[in-house]
Amino acid sequence: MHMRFLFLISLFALTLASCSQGISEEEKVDIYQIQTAGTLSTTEYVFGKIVQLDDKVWYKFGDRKILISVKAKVKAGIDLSKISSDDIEVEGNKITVHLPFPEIVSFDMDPNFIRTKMEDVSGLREGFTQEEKLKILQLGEQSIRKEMMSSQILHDAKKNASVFVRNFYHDLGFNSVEIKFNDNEDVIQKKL
Amino acid sequence: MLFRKSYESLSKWSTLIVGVGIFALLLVAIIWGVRYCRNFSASNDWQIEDTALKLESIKEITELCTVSFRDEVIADTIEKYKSMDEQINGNINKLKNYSQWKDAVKGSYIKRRLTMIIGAELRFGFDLKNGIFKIEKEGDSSILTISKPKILDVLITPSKSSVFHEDGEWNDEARRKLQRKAIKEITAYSKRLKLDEKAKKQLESLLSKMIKAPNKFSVKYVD
Repeated sequence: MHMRFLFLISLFALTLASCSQGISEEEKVDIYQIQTAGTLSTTEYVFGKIVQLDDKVWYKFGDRKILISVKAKVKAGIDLSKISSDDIEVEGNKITVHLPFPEIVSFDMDPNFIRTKMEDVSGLREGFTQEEKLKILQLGEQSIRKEMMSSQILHDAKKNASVFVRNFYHDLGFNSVEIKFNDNEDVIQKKL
Repeated sequence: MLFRKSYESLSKWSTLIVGVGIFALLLVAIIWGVRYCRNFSASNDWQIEDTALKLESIKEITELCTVSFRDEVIADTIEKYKSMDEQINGNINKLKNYSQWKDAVKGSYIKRRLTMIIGAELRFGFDLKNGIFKIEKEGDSSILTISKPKILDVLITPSKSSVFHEDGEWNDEARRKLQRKAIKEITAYSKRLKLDEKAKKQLESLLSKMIKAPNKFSVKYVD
């Protein structure tokens, strides 16, 4: 009788265990293909951040803490593919170019510059898994992406892009190059 | 007499069924409870502390990316048991861990395994600052001499990566190795895509838009 009972329970437990968890994550659609581009990167910033997480929950005995040092290499510039023939006006030796407003062109978090600086696990808690660490890094990435916008990166990209484009047209033989950015505010002009 | 015996037997069976039923319900409740707690604790509610963002360096660059390519790479690492003894002991040890006991019951030959799906973006184009980039006038026409296109970046970010399967304990270096493997793989794959030609064609198309007299302009690629 006991054997039957145990057998039934084991069978039930096995059936439950074999049930896999449903996919709860939102499905993302991404198209993987070769794309033509035209981004001119003019500025590169390297940001560093300490990603700090304190994982304390009332229903678990003990807590977990982690400090991860990360670096993000960010490039900014202008998208030349957005320029149309209407954006370029030529009058003899004078040229006026309307450039698109600078944007973040690339964002990279090199795995070689990601280091766990401190990990502390107490009580009955288990250490952080790689899946959990990746989630912490994703939070770190979100935070860097948000905070970097208050830096001067777009301003520098704009300045460097106008220097490059001006020199480019100057080398082509234009004496006067006027550069305007499509934000309608800033007009950078230099008569050569 | 016979009726009484069969009644007793039926009563024993029904007691057993009710007992199993209650036990099963309790088991389901416990398993759901554990799963709820695990999901609840996991990451969804995590908030990182507000630490300062440090600007470490600023560099002036001039890179023209004319082709980009994105792909997902599956990077996997497996460690197998070396002997039957190790396999048996290993699987018994795995029974202690809730997340591993499915593998343990199966008697898996895999000691530990880490599988990641890594999204990478390869940017291909011209480095105008470190390479050659000059414009020369020859009468009415201009010649642009430029270095051949090359890989500018292979970008990997945590938001485009995920751990698909993690069995056993893994250190950060194992994760980094998989990410480096993904970078190598996408770099090797890009060589088969003839990106050189596409990058050159796109450069010429951009120049023809930026220069209103494209007939008077030619591009020379140098090593």
